[in-house]
Amino acid sequence: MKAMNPIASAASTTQPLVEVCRLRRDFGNIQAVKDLSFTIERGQVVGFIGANGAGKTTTMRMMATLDVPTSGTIRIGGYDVLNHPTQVRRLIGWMPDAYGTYDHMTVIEYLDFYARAFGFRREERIRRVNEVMEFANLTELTDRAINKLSKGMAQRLCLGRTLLHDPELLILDEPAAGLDPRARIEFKHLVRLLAAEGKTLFISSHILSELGEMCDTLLFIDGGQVVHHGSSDSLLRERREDASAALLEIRLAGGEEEREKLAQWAPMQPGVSVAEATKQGVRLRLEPDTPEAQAALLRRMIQEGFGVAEYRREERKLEDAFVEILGKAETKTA
Amino acid sequence: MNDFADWLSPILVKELRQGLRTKAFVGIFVLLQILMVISTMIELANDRSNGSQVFFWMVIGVALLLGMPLRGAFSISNEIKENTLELVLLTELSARRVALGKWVALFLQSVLLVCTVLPYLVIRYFMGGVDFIQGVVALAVFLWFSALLTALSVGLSPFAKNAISRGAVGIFAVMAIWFLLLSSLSLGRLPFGSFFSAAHVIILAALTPLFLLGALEIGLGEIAPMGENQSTRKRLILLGNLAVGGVLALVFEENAYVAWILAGCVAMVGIGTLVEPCRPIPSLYRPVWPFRRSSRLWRAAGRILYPGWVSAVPFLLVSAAAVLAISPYRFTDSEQNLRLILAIGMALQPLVICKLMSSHRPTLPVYMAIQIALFVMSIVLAGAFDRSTNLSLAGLLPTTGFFLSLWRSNLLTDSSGINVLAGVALLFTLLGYVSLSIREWVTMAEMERRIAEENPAIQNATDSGEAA
Repeated sequence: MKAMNPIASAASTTQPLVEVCRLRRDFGNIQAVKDLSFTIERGQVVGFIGANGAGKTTTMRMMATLDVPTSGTIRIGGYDVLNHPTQVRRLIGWMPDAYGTYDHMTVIEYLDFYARAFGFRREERIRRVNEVMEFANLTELTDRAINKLSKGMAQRLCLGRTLLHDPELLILDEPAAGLDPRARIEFKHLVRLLAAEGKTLFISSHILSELGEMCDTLLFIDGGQVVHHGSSDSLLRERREDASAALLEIRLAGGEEEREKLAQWAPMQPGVSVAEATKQGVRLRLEPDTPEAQAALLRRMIQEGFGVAEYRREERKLEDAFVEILGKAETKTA
Repeated sequence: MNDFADWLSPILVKELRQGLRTKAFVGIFVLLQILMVISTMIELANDRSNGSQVFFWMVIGVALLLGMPLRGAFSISNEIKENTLELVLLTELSARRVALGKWVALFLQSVLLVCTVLPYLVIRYFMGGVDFIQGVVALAVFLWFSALLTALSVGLSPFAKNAISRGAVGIFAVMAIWFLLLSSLSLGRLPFGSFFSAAHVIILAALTPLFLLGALEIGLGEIAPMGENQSTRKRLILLGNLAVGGVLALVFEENAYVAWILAGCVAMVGIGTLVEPCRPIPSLYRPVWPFRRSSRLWRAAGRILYPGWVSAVPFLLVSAAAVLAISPYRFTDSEQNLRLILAIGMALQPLVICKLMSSHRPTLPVYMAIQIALFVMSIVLAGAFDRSTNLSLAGLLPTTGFFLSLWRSNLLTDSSGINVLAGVALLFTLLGYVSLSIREWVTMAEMERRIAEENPAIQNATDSGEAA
């Protein structure tokens, strides 16, 4: 889509687009967000992860000028959200977890209303609505009543609404929640397109594997504080208790006897230990975690006459890392 | 997409597209037509009986004075419930434009309803011999009342977020029905010419726009993003209304009439300001900043325009004094002075009670709940005091005293002590307010200092103004 937003950032393009500094938000005696600091560079796709009640939505609402911090600052495009909310709103597109659509309206009427509300007039309004409809794959739904849309369609409509004024930063709160697999794939595709256009995206979600694929960096928060900020790869490497070892899933063609034989043979090999016995084989821990070591072990197993039906290095899941982070944070608090 | 012109407010376009399809509007529209046909047939069959006239106007009244205001009462609260309002407020539309757009859309729908009633008036004129002009004037009066009530209900709509506040809106609806019954019965029996003089019509016409704007502003603070000042304009509109009212009272010599209307405006806007939160956010204080350029007196006066319940109390006192200055009594009538003291005490008591009990400012539903509890208690006490010789004690609970002052015109003669006790009660209420608000005033001063530091140009202008 063609960039149209006339509002330029106050900050230079080398500065981070989002700067959150020592942010705190209290609700009575409860500290929803405490001392939260992070930055987001232009063009990045950032996943915002945390358990329920971790302070994700509160933080996003403050970034979207819908809530005010108890203390601390948020600057978006160089503008302070408290002092310059109007300028900030022109730079951001906010999509809450509840999509916020109107009954008794068609898809085109909905987008036309928001295009008018964003100040587009005449041909520009029509052109903008058409561009967004095309981008979000809504053209066939033009005259469909909003209350007749599926959840996936409604989500695309709301993403389209968020894009109408061509914002620099998109803040998406749980955008994939409740979507079926097909709608999720479509959504991932749209995110990739937006990232390719150079948009900065800040996405919260519970579906961590998808965030890992979509995002350049992940921001984990717990108890209102950042517990990890980095790429998913670095997270997986850093958070492993035994980061230097690989876990190998081995399935054997033979029966119980062959499995026991392997369980006895493996510990005698250099750098190999048995992690656990599985139904059809064993899970081995191999050190060092290098392709050469993995290939050498496989070769030795075949030479030894084991009927290896499957030999696979287990990828560590983001979910595991997330649970581990939360566990560590809880231990620290205790 | 081109069915509505670009210059029309987006929210108006949306409301018209959406509103004309809602079950509520279609229901009101169809029901009105059916009942109009029935009432016209009854009237023609009964040959202009008084009862059928009442029924005819009652039907119109239900649609315009109850149906449309009720739709207004839930217009913004439904958007809050559906999570759509925040998205609208992140566009170029302000909370004010949203409220105004919603009111205009509802008003246009009311106009549409009125237009559909006109043919029945023509039939009644040709076949029933009913005065057509009188009917048109009556419709105009209904439309005008409907516009005012709808503006008030749209203004109150942001507060109708939960069961309590919806209950409060229900009470409002009951009051509207009460008003409707009275007005319908009156309209059925009396010629309209005797209701208003030409001067009254001019005064009402002149005060209506500011009343409408003031009514729509009441609940904006509840829906706008927290960093936006929605209070100063509301207060300035009320001050504007007081100024226009003062001029009208002088020109037409209708002081009592104007004073009563303005007292209603002060109550409406004043209560709305008393339940505003005090938030230490610089952007809330900036709109009042032009006063920094003026003299020390103006700077002090400007503080009553700051948002929040703390500045609302002196603002309310100033506004009440202005109404009293416009009224024909002008501080000379002891009975009226007593009522004013009691009315101010009534307005402030729920605020102080709530602050003492929970340290939080009351929301409008809580304020109204406390006020209703005080009303109920006061009616019981007033009944008891009415039979008692020691009436002066009624002054301690301003609401009780106020009721008694309405029931008994010779309250002061019966018990001169009530004036003193009402004064003492008000004094204690004000002392309670002062003790509770000191911290907030200090925060406000801190806020002023921070903004001045951020804006050296303004500070320099202020300093040079003072030096001059």
